[in-house]
Amino acid sequence: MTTENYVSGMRRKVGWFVILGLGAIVALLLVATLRTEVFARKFTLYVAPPSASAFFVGQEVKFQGFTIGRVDDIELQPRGEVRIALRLLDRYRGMLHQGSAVRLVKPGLLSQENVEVTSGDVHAAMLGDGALLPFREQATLEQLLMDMKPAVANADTLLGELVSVARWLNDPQGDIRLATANVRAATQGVDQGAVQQTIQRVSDAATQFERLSHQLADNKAGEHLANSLKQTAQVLKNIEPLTDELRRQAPEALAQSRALVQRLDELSRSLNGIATDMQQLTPELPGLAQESRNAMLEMRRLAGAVRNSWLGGGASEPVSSGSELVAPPMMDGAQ
Amino acid sequence: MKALGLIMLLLMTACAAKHELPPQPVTNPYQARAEGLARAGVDALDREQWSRAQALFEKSLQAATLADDQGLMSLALYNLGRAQAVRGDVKAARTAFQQAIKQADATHDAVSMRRAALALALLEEQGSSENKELASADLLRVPDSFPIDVHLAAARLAEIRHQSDLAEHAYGRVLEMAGRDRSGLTYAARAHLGLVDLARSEAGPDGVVKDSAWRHLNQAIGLLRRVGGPRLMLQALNLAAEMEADPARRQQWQERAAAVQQALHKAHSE
Repeated sequence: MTTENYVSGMRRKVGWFVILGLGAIVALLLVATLRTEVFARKFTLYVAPPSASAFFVGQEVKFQGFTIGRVDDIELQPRGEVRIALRLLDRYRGMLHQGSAVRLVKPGLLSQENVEVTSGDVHAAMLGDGALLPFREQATLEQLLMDMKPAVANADTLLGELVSVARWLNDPQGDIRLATANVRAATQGVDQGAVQQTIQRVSDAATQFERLSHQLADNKAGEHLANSLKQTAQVLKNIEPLTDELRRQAPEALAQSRALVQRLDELSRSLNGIATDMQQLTPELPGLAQESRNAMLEMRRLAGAVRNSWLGGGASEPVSSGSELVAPPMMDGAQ
Repeated sequence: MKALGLIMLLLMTACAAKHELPPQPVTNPYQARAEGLARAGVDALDREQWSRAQALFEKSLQAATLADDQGLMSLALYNLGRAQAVRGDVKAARTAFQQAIKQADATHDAVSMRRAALALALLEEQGSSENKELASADLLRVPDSFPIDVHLAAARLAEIRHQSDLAEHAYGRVLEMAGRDRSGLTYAARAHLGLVDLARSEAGPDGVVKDSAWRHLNQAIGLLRRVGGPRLMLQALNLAAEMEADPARRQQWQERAAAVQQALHKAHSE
């Protein structure tokens, strides 16, 4: 009796042990499947990146930082195209619309790249099963460095050109300096040829300006400067026909000469602008820029003196105005 | 041909009388940088980029210090004070103006000293400070040879202190000195707006403003349309709205002012 009781007790205990063990295994399996979404409804999207090197099967696919699926398959198509299948949870499908794209995102410098899907146009229709999404390349640090290389080289070239412009403007034997000196020399003589020579010099300078402006226009970083140069070239260009006009129409010579002076003044203002631009662009240039600016200021003074002389009819014209270096005084409302 | 030759000869002689070959200029790069930065700062101030203007004036001061150019240092301190005042940092602006006065005094630079002193006085007048009496009445009597901005500042200060005769004289001097370039025309517009204020303050007991107020206001608006200056234009439109007696036209002025104000606000928020 005692032995029978003992055996039946043992059987009961073993039975309970087996039942509890199996139950625990089933429960664990249930939890595991629920957590890994093995039995959740899914849908598939495809993407065709240029290379599969950054993808692997089982790689997480994220949307707004949440894992919404995994890379299911990577295959090389017969025509050499890469095709990657993304298996995504169906419950997130409502958030993905037409216009969404796939990209690789690197959360940290050394961390692994994640596949990320963007939401697309929220007003557009939802994505269908099996849709092919475009792949967008995200600029990596390496790519940025590679891209920067030519930009740095361009900047170097531009800087070199700016330095040469500044040196050219500042060159005592340069066209602009010689042109200024010639105008000055012309004022001491009576020879009309000197003026013609000056005009020729200025005209040559225009050609040089034009060439420089074209060179700078090729480089987008110098667009602003190139525009300034272009305007200057235009001003310079207008001088030559003016002198022809002057030669032909002696009775109107006085009025025309005033217009010539006006153009010279415009030219010097324009060149001043360039000098200031150069000064703003780089700290290495101010000295050179300033020196070239001085040459231009000299030209402006010359033009101003002619305009203000009694001959120019502007002696009594008030020209004084606020210095461009001084902030205007404070007034109510208008600061 | 002979007539042309004669004209050219006269033209050249006139120039030659005024010009000699200058010596080869040698430039201190720090001085050039200080000037360039000051110029850029004034431009930024004009565009209402106040924090940028302040940063540029600070750099200008640094460059002027490196160049050991005391005149430029004084100018940079004044400019810096102006930017700080516009940004509402009255304490820093006051310090900058005081330093500018000290700097100008050390080099006997009467213009810079008067400019900074007037700026300081205007700052004190516009605030609720008790230092208003610091500036003497002589401050308002500016020699004719001083630059246009000093005359304008003196005019404004005289106007605030209800010294109409001095204010009118100084505004008149600004109009005389104003050139035909953008800066000159802007100064003229400011002077006209000041004269509008003066004329309004002299309005009769019936509250009817003088015709001269409208004349100056129309001139200011005309000038501002030529040179551009939205903040000044807003001030002019507000003045017009205040002066207008006819309710329908007043509303038109107010609508125009509101449109400018809105556009300015939008431009700032972009």
